[in-house]
Amino acid sequence: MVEREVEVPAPPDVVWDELAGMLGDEVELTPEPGGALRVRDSDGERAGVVLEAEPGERLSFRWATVDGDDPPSEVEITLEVSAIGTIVHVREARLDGAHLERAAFVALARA
Amino acid sequence: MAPTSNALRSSRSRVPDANAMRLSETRRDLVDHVFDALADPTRRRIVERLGRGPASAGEIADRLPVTRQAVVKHLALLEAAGLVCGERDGRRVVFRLTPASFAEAAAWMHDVGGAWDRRLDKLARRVTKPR
Repeated sequence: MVEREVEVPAPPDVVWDELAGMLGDEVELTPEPGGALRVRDSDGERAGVVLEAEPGERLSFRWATVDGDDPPSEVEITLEVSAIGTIVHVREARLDGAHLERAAFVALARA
Repeated sequence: MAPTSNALRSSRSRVPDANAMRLSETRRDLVDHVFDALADPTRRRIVERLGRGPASAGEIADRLPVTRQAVVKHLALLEAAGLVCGERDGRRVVFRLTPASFAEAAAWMHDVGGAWDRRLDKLARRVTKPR
């Protein structure tokens, strides 16, 4: 699982409007449960489906690369009001890889 | 947030790739093996020990509250899972970690983490600059 957190100097509704554009160079996003997500950038093309879309608060989706055999993953982006603007929290987890990742973390932590 | 206008065009049709599906099956098997192998605390200790460098079963047993015979059995299981490999060195067999499966997880984390760093940089620039 990968987690990132940044604080940006803009209110959550402004950040929300920029979330789709953040995802890639060309982005098609229907921000409602079941809505389609398609992203193209220098890494290639991704396709997915929206799980939750609460404007100004939370966007979650599942996606996968269109080419290759990488497992799909689930992404959750949450927005939280902060003193200077918004804390953006991102979490991405592989849908089939939890066991492998955990094994690797345990081994790396103890190695 | 409204649907963005620069929509992607669907240009290609794709058929399932038999090789890709077989690869995924292999990966799932690998995941199960790795998980089973590391479910045991003694085997995790052995992996921890080998993370510091190659060692024989006897050297590993010296530092753990288990017999050499037990260590040999654990090593066989770890070897079957592809986590360690043994190599004969004179009269003894020296074991070392085979990091491929860890490397796969680490590579995924590196790639995905790097991608989010770039996306969040872009987001920060877009909400900071006057648009």
